[in-house]
This record gives sequence, C-alpha cells and structure tokens, in this order.
Amino acid sequence: MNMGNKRIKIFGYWVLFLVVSTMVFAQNGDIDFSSAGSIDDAIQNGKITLDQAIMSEKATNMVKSQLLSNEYRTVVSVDTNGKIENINNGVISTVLIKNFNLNEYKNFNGQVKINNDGSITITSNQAATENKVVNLEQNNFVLVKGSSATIKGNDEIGLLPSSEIEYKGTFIKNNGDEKLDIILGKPKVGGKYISFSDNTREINVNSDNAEVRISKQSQHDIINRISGNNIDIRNGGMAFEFNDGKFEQKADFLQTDRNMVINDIPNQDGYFVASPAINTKNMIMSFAPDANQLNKFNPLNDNRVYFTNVQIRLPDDTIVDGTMTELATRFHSTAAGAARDLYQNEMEKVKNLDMPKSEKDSWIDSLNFMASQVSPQIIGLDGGKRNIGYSTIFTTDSGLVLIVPAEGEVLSKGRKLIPEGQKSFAIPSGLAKFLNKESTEEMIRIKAKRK
Amino acid sequence: MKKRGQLSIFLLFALVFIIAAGILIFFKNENLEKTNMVLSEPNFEPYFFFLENCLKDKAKDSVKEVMLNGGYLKAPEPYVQIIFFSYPFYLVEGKNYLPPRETISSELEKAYNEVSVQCYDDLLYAKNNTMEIKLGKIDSEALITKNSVILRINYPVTIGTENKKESRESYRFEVPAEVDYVYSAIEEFINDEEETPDALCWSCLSDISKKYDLKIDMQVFDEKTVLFSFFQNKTDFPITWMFANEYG
Repeated sequence: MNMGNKRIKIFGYWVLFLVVSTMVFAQNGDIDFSSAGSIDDAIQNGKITLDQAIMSEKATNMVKSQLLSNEYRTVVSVDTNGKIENINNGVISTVLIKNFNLNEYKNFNGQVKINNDGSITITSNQAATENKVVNLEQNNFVLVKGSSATIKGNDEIGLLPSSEIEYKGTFIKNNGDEKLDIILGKPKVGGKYISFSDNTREINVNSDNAEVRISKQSQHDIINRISGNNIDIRNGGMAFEFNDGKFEQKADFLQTDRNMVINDIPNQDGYFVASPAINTKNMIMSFAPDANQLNKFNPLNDNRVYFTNVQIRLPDDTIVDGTMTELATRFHSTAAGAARDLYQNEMEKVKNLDMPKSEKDSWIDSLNFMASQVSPQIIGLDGGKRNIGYSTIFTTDSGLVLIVPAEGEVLSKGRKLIPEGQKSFAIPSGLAKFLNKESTEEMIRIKAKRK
Repeated sequence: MKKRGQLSIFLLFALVFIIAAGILIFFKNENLEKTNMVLSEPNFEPYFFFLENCLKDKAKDSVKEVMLNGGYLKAPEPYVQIIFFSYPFYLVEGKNYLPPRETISSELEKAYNEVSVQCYDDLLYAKNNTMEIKLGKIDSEALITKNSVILRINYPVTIGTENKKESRESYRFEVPAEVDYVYSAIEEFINDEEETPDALCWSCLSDISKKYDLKIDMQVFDEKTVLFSFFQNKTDFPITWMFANEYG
C-alpha cells in the first residue's frame, strides 16, 4: 500500500509540476503571444511554426505584422481588422484572395498590407531597383516602382493615385486623386474603371485622369474611351489627350511604338494611328464623313489606308476565311504586287514629265526607295484560324496592313468573309498614301499638262 | 404655108430652150464663183473655238492648282517644302496665316493669267503659215461665289491674214468649285486650332469632316509640322485643298 501511495504521490507531484511549469512557462513568456519576439523565439526553437502563430487567435494583428515582416524581410502589415484566413508555407488567403505567395516578396523594397476587407495592397518604394512582378492566380501584372496597387481578386486591382502598372506590355497610370479600378482580362464591369479584354485586344477606359501607354510589347492595341476626361494615351513618342470634349495630339509629333486604334465611343469617332513605311516619324490618319465608305474601300484607287468606326465594327466572332499563312500568301500575291505595279506606273509618269533633271531624279529616287520597301510579311503567324474583325491590325515590314472585308460578303450565318483571291483585302500603309494620293496625282497631271 | 407655121413654132421653142439654158448656165457660174470666193477667204472661227475651250480648261486648272497650293499660285512664307511641292502654313506658333478670301481671289487671277498663256502657245502651234496671231495684255478677274468660282478674262487675241483680221477678247467661265464652302471648313478648323497651338485636335477634324461632309487627311511631316488635305468630292468638280500647320 505504502508503495502504491508513494507512486500516486509522485504522479501527483509530477502533474503539479506540469501545471506549475505550464503556468510559469506562460507567465515567463516563453511563447508570449502578445510579443512578436517571444513567438519568434518559439519559432526558432521549433516550439511553434510561423503559420501556427499567424493563425493563432492569441496573436494580435500587430504581432502578426511584425512576425511576417521579420520572416520575409520586408514590411508586411495586417490591418486592424484584417484577417488571414489561411497560411501555408507563406501562401496566404483572405476572403478575397485565394493564393498570395509572400515568398515572392522576400527582400521586397516596399510593403505588403492585408486590408480589413481582405484585399492586399502592394506598395513598391521609389528607391526600388526594379519593377515588381505581381503573380496572381490567372493574371500577372507589373507594379512600377514607387506605385501602390490593391489586389481585390485574381483579375481586379485598385490602382492608387500617382501609381502605375503594366499589363501585357501596356502601362496604366492613375493621375487622379482617387483609386482607379483595373480589370484584367474581363471586359464587362461597372463604375469607374479601366478594363482589358485579352480576346479582342481592347482596353476600355471609363474613368477620368488616367494614362494608357502602349509599348512595342503591348498585346492590346485598341483603346475604347467609354467616358472620362483628362485621359492621356501615349504610344512611343506620340501623346494624345481626351479633354474638354476634344481629342488632341500633343506636339512634338514623334514615332509610334506600334499601330493602334482609338475609339471615342461617346462621339462615335474612330482613329487609327500608324507608322508608314517611308518615314517612320510620319503618322497618317483619315476622317471620312460616311462610315459606309468603308464598304467601298479599294486600295488601288482609294488613298485611305485605314479606317475604323465603332458603329460598323463587326462582332468578335467575325471569321477570316483562311489561315494566317494563307492570308500572308494572298497578301504577297495581291496587295504587294499591286503596290509594286503602282510604283512602276508612277515612275513611268514621272519619267515623261518635263521638269528639271535634278527634280526628276529626286522623285525617281524616292519611288525606287519606296518600291524597295515593299516586302511585307505578316508576323505572328501560327498557322491556325483566328477570329478577326475590322480592328485587326497586322504589322508588316513596310507599315500597316488593314484587313477589310469585301462589300456584300455576308453569309447566311451573318458572318463576313474575306473571300479567296479578293484583291482589295489588304494594303500596306504609306504606299497608297504616297502613290495614290489624289492631290499628288492631280498635281502631276496639271504640271504635265502645262508642258 | 402650114409647113412654114410649123417651122416657126419649132424655132420659137428652140429659142426659148437656148435662152433658158443660157440663164441656167449664167446663174450656175455665178454661184460657183461665189463659192470659190468664200472658200478662198480665211475662216477664224475654229481657232476662236479652240481658244475658248482652252481658256475654259485653264480656268478649271487654275482653280485646282490654287487649291492644291493652299489658296496660292505659289506658297508664300511661311511654307513647308515636301519633295518639290510647297504648302503654305496656316498656323505657326499660334499665329493665323489663313489667307482671306480676297487674297485667294487675287491668287486665282494670277494663276489664270499665268496658265492661260499656254492657250496662246497652243494657238500658235495650230495656225497655218499665212496667219498671224497676236496676243495683247492678259487680265483676269476672279469672283468666289457660294457654289462656284467665276473667272472673267480679258484675253485680246487678233487673228489675221493679209486680207482679213478678226479680234476677240472677253471670256467668262463659271467653274462649279465649292471653294467658299471648303474655305469655311478650313477657317473653322484653324480657329479651333488657334486656341491650342501646342496640340492638334483630332476630334475637331472629325467633327468638321462630318459637318461639312468632307474627307480630310492629315500627315505628320516632321515633329512639328502636319500637312492637311481637305477633299470635296461630292460635286462634279472635286477639289483638294492642301495646307500645313506647325504645332508646339
């Protein structure tokens, strides 16, 4: 019995020891959840993991912020009422964000903030050495240094004032005083926003005080102004602005990085900006009062080299009858050949003119140079069928190719086709402008007649 | 006695026949002489007809050329030279150089005076060796109306031979060119542009294109210069009006 009582007594002391030890442990702060340092020590000693500490109800958001900042060696903060729903090896989720990988922000020269509503704001310091790639589940964007963006979901972000992001080669800057919503890859939204539509290559601008900058790498080149003022559009050295009901191009007039379409939806205007073959500093555009003129477009006797109008844009499912390779072949055999013929005809005209030899030589030299530029190639061929509409643009060595469906080619399904062998489906910019320009021909005619 | 009477009647018929034949031959010869006389005299009408048509063509050419040169026969300073064409600036450093309608009328007159000389040259080429053609002082007058340009020209041409001379000098042609209409469109555009000389207003061009039913082209020539073409091609006499603006 004595032996049994002794064992019970020892067990009782041991239990008492454990209870006291636990109490002492807690009181002494071995893991003091009000102290980031204490938790950090516990983490170092393997008593608890960071993920467990972050998920602990005991730790305050301030403590969690300190822990995360220490771990990722950047400023990470959790707002007063912000909540991390889950964290697994640094991949966190909130009510709005499924997977946000903090590991990608180690040594980030900036801040990551988990907001009360579950959104996450990333701020890149101006002193950062490079722009920050922000990986989302479906869409990625680049946060330009010195900028702040709030991720609201996998395809929706809020761009803070004076901030700039890049999405698939296009830069968006918020020049206003309020947050600007950016929708990635989703065309339909409400409120003030800028949205990207990957399928149609469009950017819809429905906000004041925004800047859209197209680069050579841009995968979007059709800009639709839904509404808004103080909207800047930049493309290479070119700068445009919607302001006070006007759409203006700012001097100096410099080279574009790529061809683009600008649609002014409220005013039902469409503009095309292109760099022609001869002088890449040149920019050509036309205004035609009658949108139906497009149907009569003929590159061989019409000097318009582009046209777009929101009223007559085809549905997105417009099909071109042929693969890109076929289109390229047809282009080489039709439009390019026609363009070369035009040069030859023009040269013959000039040769017959009675004018000083130096002038004639200069003119012929110009024509020879232009003729040498006729080697268009449609780039980005993938051999497969693609959906294209009026707005589709192909860049060629010598400028722009605009695909224009032929008049009346409407099939029973309501789709317009560019038929095989259609001669007027494409034209490089610059060529017609220089060669078919009504005024130039008229001038030559008059000068010739006078002699 | 009866036989003698028959002979007399026969002779009388013969006499009447001879007299009638004589009269016929007389008048026939007279007509022939008259015809020969007319053919030998020079007829200048085809030459004047040729001249009038030529002047009519040149009236049209004058209007087209002045429009292509921005309202001038030869663009004055400031202008931009593109290959061998010169185009006047209508806007430089915010200053409006759009020529008034009176200047354009005056330039049309100059152009007509100059290009119409070609008609005299052509006339000289067409004349025969017995003819002499002289041209006096050319003087024209242009009037820009709402829907046309009226060109009056004093073009004193005398055509003559040793025996005959004929002179004509006044002609009037109406060219159905809507110069005044296109001018109004350009004037509206330049007034818009004067407000913001550092920027080119695309929507203004678009609005004007729609308002006036004109096709407008623009082409950037260099970092500050833009060349504009206003096409009016809705009438039987299309015109293209070209000019340049400098921005920045």
